[in-house]
Formats: sequence, structure tokens, C-alpha cells
Amino acid sequence: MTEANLAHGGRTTLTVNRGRRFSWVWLGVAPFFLFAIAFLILPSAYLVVGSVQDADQNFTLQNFGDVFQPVIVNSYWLSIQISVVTAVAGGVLGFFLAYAAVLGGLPKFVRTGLMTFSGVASNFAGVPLAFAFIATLGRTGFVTALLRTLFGLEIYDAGFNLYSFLGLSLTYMYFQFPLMVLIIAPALDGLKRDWREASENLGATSWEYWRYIALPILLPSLLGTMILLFGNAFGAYATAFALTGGTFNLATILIGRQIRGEVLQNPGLGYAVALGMVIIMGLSIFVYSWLQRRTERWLR
Amino acid sequence: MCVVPAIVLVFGMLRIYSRPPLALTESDTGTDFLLIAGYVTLSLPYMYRAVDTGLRAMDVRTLTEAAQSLGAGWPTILLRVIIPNLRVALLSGAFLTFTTVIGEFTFATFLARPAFGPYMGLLGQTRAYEPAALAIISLILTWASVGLIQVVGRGAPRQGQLAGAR
Repeated sequence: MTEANLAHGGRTTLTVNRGRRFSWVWLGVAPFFLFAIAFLILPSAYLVVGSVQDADQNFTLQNFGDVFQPVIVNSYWLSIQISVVTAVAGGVLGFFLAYAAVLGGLPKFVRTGLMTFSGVASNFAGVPLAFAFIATLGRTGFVTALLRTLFGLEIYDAGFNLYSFLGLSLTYMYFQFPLMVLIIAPALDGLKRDWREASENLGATSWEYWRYIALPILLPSLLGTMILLFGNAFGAYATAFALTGGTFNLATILIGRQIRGEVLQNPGLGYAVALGMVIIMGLSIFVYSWLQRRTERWLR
Repeated sequence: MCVVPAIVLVFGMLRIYSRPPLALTESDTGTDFLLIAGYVTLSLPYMYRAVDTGLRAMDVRTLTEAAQSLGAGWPTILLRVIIPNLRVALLSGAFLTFTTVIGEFTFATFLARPAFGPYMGLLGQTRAYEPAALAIISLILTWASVGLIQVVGRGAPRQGQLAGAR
């Protein structure tokens, strides 16, 4: 009897012990999940719930129908256009810069310098970046004045405007192409010298090496990084706001004005607009990580 | 990069934490807490990446087993073996977070806190020359942070320097 009790007691302790160890493991990540729920999941969930409610908190899908009014569609379209343009242009420029620095046979200090600059420039975004561009290319900016004095060229008369699509794209480019350099340089490092030598031994020209070996290997990485650049520009608010004073109708600026209560006059519609941004960002991150997995097959 | 852009996140946070039962925006301290929470959320992806790179570069299992065989408990292992080996990763992530947060505009504006970012924004609307000076200060801070990342990271595996745009 005593023995049985003991054995039973012992087994109970064991079970309890195992149970406790299990919960300890979860306790380690509990702060993260609590934090993520409180400050990421809950706010996002609120947008989802709010977007299917009307002013009297009844269920409705009307908001998603209302999203297709011109002011909202135009803001999304402008955001998408500027993100695509700067992602592709920044991606191409960044790729060639990284190519020159990594594989172009330039001295090592060029590469170090480029990488350091890219580290700074890709993080130099937001309000100060807008100020820097106003101070250089604004109506009274340094470069504008320089071009006027040196060449008698009035770029604002020639059709340039910093507070336009072109100007904002230029400003975004300043953080887009360095980001491309930072991400694509390790991928270019991953191109093995053996592949090039093997292809040359088999009689391939440089063009054929790039067309049939290097580009196919790099393609997922290139596309993935451009998608990352797209998302980067798509979610940007501070740069555009500081540059144009909130008059440029991007999706992020529209949401900012909705938070201030200046537009739409319908809370549910505002949530639907915000939710649309999350969906587009989510899609691009999904494609990005899918491409990233394909990259890892050859590189790294 | 986060799935939820900063502007959308602050939108949701404002709606949840500005009314009972969680009216954090009622007081300055509560709003500051919300601001910190928002910045921590923004920094999570690249802080994670930094620590992940650091953990991949070291042999956690062997180090842990070696420490255990010498009689170390888990606090000792964590504080005196793992974390010192992650120093570069943690510092890089911290400097990166610092440079992102110091001039952050979106969160601070909508939470209505008088931080550096909104101050710059305000001056940009009212003054002509001061904004350029602030931009230079901001650029110097970014250079300093990236410089520090490279100084602490010498000889260590490449650390990420990607924070993302604002």
C-alpha cells in the first residue's frame, strides 16, 4: 500500500515535473507573444473588425465597396506607381553599383566605401532626407542655384519640380538603391568562381555565362530584393509628408489625413483603406520570402 | 520590414489605446509607453535578424555543453557565455534601432509627443534655413551609428545594416 502510494506519488511528481518543464519553455517566449499580441496583432485586428462595421457598429461589407471611389483608388495607384518606379530603378542602379564594386576588379576601398555609404544612406530616410533634398534641389536649393549661376539653367522652368512625382521618386531613390547594394552584394559574393571557370572551359562567352548561369541564379534574389524595395517605398510616410507637406495623395498620406479626421468622414472606410495597405504589404512579403527560399538553393 | 507599415500600426494603436479600458493616451507617461512599444515593434524584424546572424555564427550547443560540463547553471551560461558572444549582434541591432528611432516622425507625430522627429517636421513648415541644419545633425547621427556598427563589428561576421524607410 505504502509502496503503491509512493510509486503513485513519484509518478505524479514526474508528470508534474514534465508539465512544468513544458510550460517553462513557453514562458520564455511568452513576453514576445504578449507584446506582439498587444502592439501588433490587436491593433491590426482592430482594423479588420472596424473595416466590416458601419457607423453604428453593425456588420457591413459596404466599406470594401466604397474603397473603389476615385480619391482612394488614385492614392493607391500613385503609391503603387512610385513604389514600382523607385524599386525597379533603384534595383537596377543598385545592382550595377554592387556588380562594379564586387566583381568589377576595383580596389577594395571602393567596396568598403560603397558599403558604408549604403549603410548610412539606406537609414537616412524620413524628415531629414526630405529637408536635405529641399536644401539641394528645392526652388532655392544649392544645386538649383548652382545650375542657374554656372550654366544659366533654370531647372524649374525646364519642367523639374521637387514636389512632384519625379521629385519624390528622386528622393526615394536615395534610400532605395543603397538598400539594393546592401542586399545584393552578398548574393554577388555567393557566385562561385568555379562556375565562371567551368563555363569558360566549356567555351562560353561572358554573355553566355551571364545569360545561362549567373542571371538565373541571381534572378530570385534580384526580384525578391526589388519586391522588398517596393514594400519599403509603399509604406513610407514621413519622407513624402515632409517633402510635399501632405498634399501629395499617396495611400499613406491619405491614411494620415484620415487619422487627423480631415478626409473620408467614415471611420470604417478608413480602416478598410489601412487594411488594403496591410494586404499589399503582406502579399509582397509573401512573394519575397518565397523567392528568398529559391535563392538559398544555390547561393549561401 | 514589417507587414504592417508604421502609419497603419499607429492608426490601430491609437484606436485601441485611446479609449477605456486601455486609455494609455490619457497621460503623457502612458503615451510615452505606447511610443516605446511602437518603436520596439518597428525594431523587432531587424533586431531579430541581427541576433539570428549572431547565433548562427556561434556554436551554441557546444558552448552550452562545455559550460554545463564545467558546472555552470543556465543563468551563468546565458549571461557569461551566450550574451558575450552575441555582443556584436546586440550592439549592431541597438545602434540600428537608435538611428531609426532618433528622428522617427510617424509614431511621434500621431501620438503627439514633442520628439525630435515632429520638431523637425514643425520647423520644416515654419522656417527656411533651420531644417537644413537639423538634416545635417541627423545625418551625422546616422553616420555615427553606422560607424559604430562597423567598429564593434570588426572581424565578426557581417551584420545587417538594414532598417527600412520611414
